[in-house]
Amino acid sequence: MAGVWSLVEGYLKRAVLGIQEYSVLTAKALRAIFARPFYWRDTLQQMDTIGVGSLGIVLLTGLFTGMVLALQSSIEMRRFGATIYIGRLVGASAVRELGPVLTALMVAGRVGAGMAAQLGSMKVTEQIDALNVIGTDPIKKLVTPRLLAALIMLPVLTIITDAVAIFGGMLIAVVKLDLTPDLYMRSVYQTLATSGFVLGWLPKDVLQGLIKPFFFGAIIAMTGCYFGLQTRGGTEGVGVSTTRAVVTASILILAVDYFLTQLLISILFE
Amino acid sequence: MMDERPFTTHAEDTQPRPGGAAAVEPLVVIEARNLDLAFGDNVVLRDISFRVREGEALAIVGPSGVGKSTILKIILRLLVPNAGQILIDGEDINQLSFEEVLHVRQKMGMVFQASALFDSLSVFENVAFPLREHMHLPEEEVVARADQALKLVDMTLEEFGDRLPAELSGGQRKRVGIARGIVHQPKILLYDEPTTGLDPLTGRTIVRLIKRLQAELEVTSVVVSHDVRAVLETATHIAMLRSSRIIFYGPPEEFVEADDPYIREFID
Repeated sequence: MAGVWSLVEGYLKRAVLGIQEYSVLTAKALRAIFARPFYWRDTLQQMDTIGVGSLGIVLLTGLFTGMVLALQSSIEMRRFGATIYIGRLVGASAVRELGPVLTALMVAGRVGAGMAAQLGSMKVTEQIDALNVIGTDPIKKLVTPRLLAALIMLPVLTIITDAVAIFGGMLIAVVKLDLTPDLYMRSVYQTLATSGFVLGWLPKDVLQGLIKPFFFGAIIAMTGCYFGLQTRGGTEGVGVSTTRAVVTASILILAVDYFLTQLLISILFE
Repeated sequence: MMDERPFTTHAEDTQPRPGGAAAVEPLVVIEARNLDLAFGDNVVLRDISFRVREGEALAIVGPSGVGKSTILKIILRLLVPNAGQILIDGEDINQLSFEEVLHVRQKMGMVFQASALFDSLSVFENVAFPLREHMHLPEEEVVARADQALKLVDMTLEEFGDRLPAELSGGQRKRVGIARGIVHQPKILLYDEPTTGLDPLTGRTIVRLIKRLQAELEVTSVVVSHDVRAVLETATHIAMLRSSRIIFYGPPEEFVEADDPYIREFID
């Protein structure tokens, strides 16, 4: 019994220490955004890797998500003769939830894993030590540009996913359900409009879907960098860090999405 | 054996000795005072003290896993000892802020065991990295200095500048690592196992290179190695580690004549 307890105690201590180190790293990376030197070239390079590099998977994810949403919901909608509302369903689902979450999950798999692998390799080959020795802060040089790039590019990718998902839904609505594009798009607009507007022009649903990617971007960058910098034990360690980064980021995205949705509903809709 | 003289301050170091007209000892650049380090129950270093004066080359020798490289990490404050002080130019670096430590590190150059070149950067970008990070020189000056540093290690910018580290041999990577270490003209050069993993001929070339750099650049060096031949050729002082402690500290001439059976076995 005592053995089990000491195991649990050890696990809990490591977990608390991990959360503390993760938080400190995030705080330092955020603070470094506003402190010289600024690594704009590295940030642009990361924006290219995260944004342009993820465009393909994001387009495919959006397209097929929108198509499958329309296809699945058409079965029920047809039964009630309500196929003209397909646009409402696809629009609301894509903009509020599926666009931000699926984009984040796909980018976590692609970019988060890449960050963990790259920083992990740099750690085990002493390149991080080399940066320190040269007098360069590795957090400023490596973590902050990735964080900043993810904060900028995730909302952009989410907007693209949302648009492509709505387009995918329209393809099914037009080809399979014989709706006109105009009717479908009007239905999409109606659902976004009924949620109300912020500043008189920005639908609350869209705002909700645009706030989430900032948090998801931070989660992806920080989790990838954290596990990369924690890497121990050669190439095997790099593999372990990469897996942990993707799994942790994915779970965090889903969990944070729930709490964020709850918070945004209470702020925007109540 | 271990230097028993009491530690002195800079001011005392530069004082002429009584009766000696111009006998001024060089300043102490690196000073370790009673360093202790342990990871849990594993004691790595115990009561480690040494001094390295300006222009001297201290070699830290001993078998693998005895804590030699750990001392370099403490000098760079990549590790903080459990007890003791490490003074660089009289400043205890463990009392400095992170930003101040980054500044102190700019006085140092380090040659890593596996070179630690940035694998996404070309040879030129690797060598130019310290200049671009901290010196804000015009690009022509950066190119000129990188070229000069590469020439000191018998390489040229024209031939190697555009190559990636993956396209170099072990010896070439080591040389580029040295060029990156000296390009910003540091006061202190630290070498971690400079000849390990190289064939004997390349190892000899690196040793000759280290000697040449010491003579030409007049830097203060700390060399960590278990290569006795390399150490005897390059060091002005040798510290031998065994079981977490320094068991010998003195010039190479005394080291080769030491009676200690462990040192004899190590040399042989």
